[in-house]
Parts: sequence; C-alpha cells; structure tokens
Amino acid sequence: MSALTDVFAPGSAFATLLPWLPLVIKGFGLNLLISALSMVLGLLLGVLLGGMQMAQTGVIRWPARFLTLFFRNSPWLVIMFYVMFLLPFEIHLASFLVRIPDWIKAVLALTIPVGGYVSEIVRGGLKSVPTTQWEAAGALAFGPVSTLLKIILPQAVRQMLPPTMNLYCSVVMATSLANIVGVQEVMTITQTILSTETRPGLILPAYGLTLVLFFAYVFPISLLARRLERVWQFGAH
Amino acid sequence: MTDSQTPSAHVRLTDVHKSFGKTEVLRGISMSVARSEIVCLIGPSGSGKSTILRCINALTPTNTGSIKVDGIEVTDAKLDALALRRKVGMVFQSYNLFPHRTALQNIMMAPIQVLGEPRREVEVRARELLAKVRLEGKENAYPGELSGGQQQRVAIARALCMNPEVMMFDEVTAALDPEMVKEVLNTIRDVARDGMTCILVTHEMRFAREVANRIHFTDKGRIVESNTPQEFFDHPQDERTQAFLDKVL
Repeated sequence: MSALTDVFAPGSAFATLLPWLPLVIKGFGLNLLISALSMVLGLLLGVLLGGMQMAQTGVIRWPARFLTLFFRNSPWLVIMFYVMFLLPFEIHLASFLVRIPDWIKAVLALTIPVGGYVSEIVRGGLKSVPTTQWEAAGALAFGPVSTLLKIILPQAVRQMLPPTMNLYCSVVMATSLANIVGVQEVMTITQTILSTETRPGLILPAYGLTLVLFFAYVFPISLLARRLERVWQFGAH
Repeated sequence: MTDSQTPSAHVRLTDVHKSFGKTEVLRGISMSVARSEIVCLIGPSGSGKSTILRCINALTPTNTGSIKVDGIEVTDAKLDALALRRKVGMVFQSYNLFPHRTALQNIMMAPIQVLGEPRREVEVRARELLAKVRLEGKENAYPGELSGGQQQRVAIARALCMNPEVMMFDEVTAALDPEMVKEVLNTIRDVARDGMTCILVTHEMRFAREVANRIHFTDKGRIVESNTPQEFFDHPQDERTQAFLDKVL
C-alpha cells in the first residue's frame, strides 16, 4: 500500500506530471488529427495508385507501380524532412497569402508512404478475388464497372480492411515523427515538460505517459483488425 | 459440314480459328445447333471444347471465322457483348458463385441489376428455380455452406433466371464427387427437356448418349466426327474417336 501512496504523494513524479496532463492530451489530440487526415488523404492516393496498378495499359500501370514501390520503400522520417523543407512556409493563392502550418506539412508527409501502402493493399485485395468471378459476372451480362462495384470490390474489401486498420495503427505511431520538425504534438510537449520541470527521474514516467496514450488508442484497433482477419478468413459472410 | 449451312440454326460457328500466342487451340471449327437441340462436345482434354463455349459467349475473342447466335454476329468488332450474354447462359466447372451473396441473392442479382426487372417478380422466379433444382430451404445459405453439387445447382438456377435462349455447360460435373454428379445431371436433364437449346462439354458418356441429339468429337482443335449418339458410340467412324472411346468406355 505504501508504494501506491508514494506514487500520489506530493513531489512524486505523478503529482508533478498531473498539472501537465491537459496539455499532454491536447498534444495527443493533434497526433490523432494528423493521423486521421493523412490516412484519409493516403487512402485517396492509394486507391488511385492501386487502381492504376491494375490497368491493362502499361503507360498507366508502370508509373503507378514505380510510385508505389518508391513511396513504400522510403523511410518515413526522410520523407518527413523532405516535405518539411520542400514545401514553402507560405503560398500565394490568388491575392491571398496562405500560411502552411507545420502540422499540415506533417499530414502531407505521412500521406505519401500511406498512399504507397494502400496502393499495394488495394492491388492485393483486387488480385485476391479469382478471375473466374469476373468471368461468371461477365457471363451473366454484368458490364466491367458493375462487376467491379457489385461483385469484385465487396469481396476485395474484406481482404483489404484488416491490413488497412493495421496500417492506420502504424500511422498513429508514426505521427510522433512530427516532433523532430517541431510540430506541437505529444512528443514535443513531453520534451517541453521535461525541460521545464527540474525534478530528477521524470524522463521515464513522462515518456511512459505518452506510451500509455498511444497504446490505449492503438491496441483496440489492432485487436479488432486481428479479429476481422480471423472471422473473414474462413466464412464467406 | 453441310449442317453449318442450315438456315434455322440457333447457334452457328463457321471456320472459327483461335490461337493463344503460338498455340493453335481452334483450327477451323464449324458446327450448328438448331433451336431446342442438345449438343454434346466430347474429346480429350486440351482439344478445344471449353474454348468453343467461351468463344460463343465472347468471353474469349476469336481470331478468324464467324459465330452467329440468334442473329447476333459474335465476332463483330462492335458486338454488344451484354446483349449476347443475355441470350446465352453459362455454367462453369468451378461453379463460380458469388461467395458474399446467399444462394437466393446469387440467383436474383443479375436479373435485377442487369435486366432491371422488379425485385418482387425476380424473387418469385428465383424461388421457383431453387425448387426446380431441388434446393428449397437453402435460400439463405451462403455458397461456402453448400456442397459442390448444391453450389452447381444454384449456379444452374442463376443462369436460368436470366431466361436465356441457349445454355452452355462447361464440364459442370468434373469437379464433383461421384454421388453429387447424379443430382446435377438430373437438373440438366430437366433443363434439356424444357426445350432449351443446350451445348454441353462433358465427360459423362452415358449421360451424353442419353440426352444428346448430336455429338461432336473434338481433337486438336478440330471437330473430327459429328453424329447421333447411337451412331457415335456404336459405330465410331474416325480412328481418333475409336481410340478415345476405347479408353473411356
């Protein structure tokens, strides 16, 4: 019992961190915003690239294949740096001067690898549906577009959803990379706390807190992904 | 092939050639199928039987020659493939049901979504067809919950629900356990008796003899013998036919 009361005692690590908690959570909120936006944009990019990878014509297929492999095989941190320094601080839109906040740049940076991964997930999902399904639909007079929408995609989505959810988990964790380029996300805020507080031995509890936040958010999603994978692997429904 | 000139042919192939790369699969196929006729294609595997069926409903494009189905020229560059396939139903060896849809939904999908028929009418017809293939009570079963023979009968009902004029069966019992073959053959027999024009690729010799009006024997991309079942099985003319029948009978 005494160990427990020690944790909450005045001057303990917990007591020192407690007042910072709202700020930490607010920072984590930015991480979630970045992850959600880059996931949405990455999905758009990835579905486009993945669809192009399935094209019959090489002129469409090969550029998409190249971009997909390039996006997938570049270190996320390097892409982050590139986007940060490549994008201007502000842009002219008509007569307006629009500032691009750093966190938006982080979103765009994460969108690139996410697009690459989604592209492969889409390609794999579409390929997982046997070509005989296309033929069966064709023999029933379904056109190519309605075959894709009504018969192929509903089956492919089952293949694609679990890996997409796992990818989202990776994206949430990767948002902590944004601290290196100065975005006020949870890691940056934790570093600020550590440089403000003078109490020794605060490093592990402070980072431990961020760890717990990430884990509490990501773990249920990854559990759900694993469950869907199991359920959809066997039954057709 | 004088019968390919018959004017009343429902399906007619004239000198059809097809190559995959350098492999010539069809080397001048000519045959005609009259309305309500039951035609069986028999021959060693790789002799082009399945390719003939796939060319007839334009799943596989031909190189040269002509295929006419009820007045539609299949080899026409501006072919309306969907109009063709509304007339021609096809059942595959591997059933190819849609695994994410129930038996009833599999049957109802195309008539509703392709033909634009009202759901209520289609459902009545679909339930009748399920009863006809002796699968009452399996309306809400998913393909994964059905045996091979049951899946194949759903596939037949699915093709029939489009009200086709011609039905093609591509080795539909080849993937089935022996005890399920009979139930599927019974279903096909019913379809044939209803006056549907049928083209079957099959290895079931006794069945072919029983239901067919005419048998074509294919070998290396050619039809080497065409005859009535009686003549075909009892007095085969071509030595390739004789050699084949010696092996399988």
